[in-house]
Amino acid sequence: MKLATADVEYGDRLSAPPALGASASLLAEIEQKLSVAEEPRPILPPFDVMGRLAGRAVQARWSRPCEAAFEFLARRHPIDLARLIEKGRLASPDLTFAAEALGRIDASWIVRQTLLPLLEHAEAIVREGAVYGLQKHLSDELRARLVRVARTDASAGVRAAAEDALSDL
Amino acid sequence: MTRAVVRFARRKAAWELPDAASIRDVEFKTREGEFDLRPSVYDIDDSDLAKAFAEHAAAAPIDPPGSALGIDLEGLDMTLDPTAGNDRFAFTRAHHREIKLDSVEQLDTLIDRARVEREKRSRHVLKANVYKYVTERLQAGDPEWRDLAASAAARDWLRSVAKKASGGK
Repeated sequence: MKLATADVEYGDRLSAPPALGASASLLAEIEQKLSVAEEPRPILPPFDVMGRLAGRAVQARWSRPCEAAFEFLARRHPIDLARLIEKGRLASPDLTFAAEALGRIDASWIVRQTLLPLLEHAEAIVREGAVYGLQKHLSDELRARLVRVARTDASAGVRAAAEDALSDL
Repeated sequence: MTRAVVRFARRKAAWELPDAASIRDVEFKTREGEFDLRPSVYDIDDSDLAKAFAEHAAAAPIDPPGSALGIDLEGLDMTLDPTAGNDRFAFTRAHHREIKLDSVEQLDTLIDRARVEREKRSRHVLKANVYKYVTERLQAGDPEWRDLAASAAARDWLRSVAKKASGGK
């Protein structure tokens, strides 16, 4: 394939303008054919709240929410995992493991913003998962919250998890 | 010596749930989201509980390990299949078993029998005891722990314990 001068100049631009030389036209044509040929399946709940790319990637591998899917999302599409958690579409037995998986990402602000509300969740298994997710992202404010959880949570399991998160061994 | 057939809880709070199906949804699923009809247990003397959990946690890996709740299924009607556990530690490899179950109903029956005797069957491992055990093994030059701590697979908590065990801070 022979490149047109306009294609060479593309490297300095932020995005490709339309009709940028013969090779760009060819690529656009191929892309259009591929997208028609693929005819993407609709993203099914609960994954439909995520971006299209993440939703399709998960749906291609798993037919239901599961730990392996959450770990994949944490590695590859962490913002989509955060959105999946925030939208409240996961059942509690899944939400607890999704929360723990989100805790494996480096961006503490996303983890805290997403998981802090789950410390008030009605189900103890979800609160415990949130503690596990948050334990590597402690800030002063979060420590204070966990002290309260360790003292007052109705579940012995959640209290023990919070104590563990606060203990520095 | 007291024999214990211990299943370590994924969520301590799960065993506070009121029925077998709710516990099963959290505690007895594979990573792919199927109900686990070959759940793992350790057939040990209960004085080895901290050792079994420390090795289980390091190999899983649970990162970082906290306190643990083990449910002792000893004496319940079940068939154990000796299947090798993790490759890292000879002890947990030798004492690992899978419970052979034919159906979800059979699984629920087992869970329910353990649930109604939860207080009697609960075995608690403190986080401090897990870290103490690992520290002692590292200080004793245990090759299994030493090799894991020095490997690329070592998690931050283990590197930190190894550093402290060798006199660092």
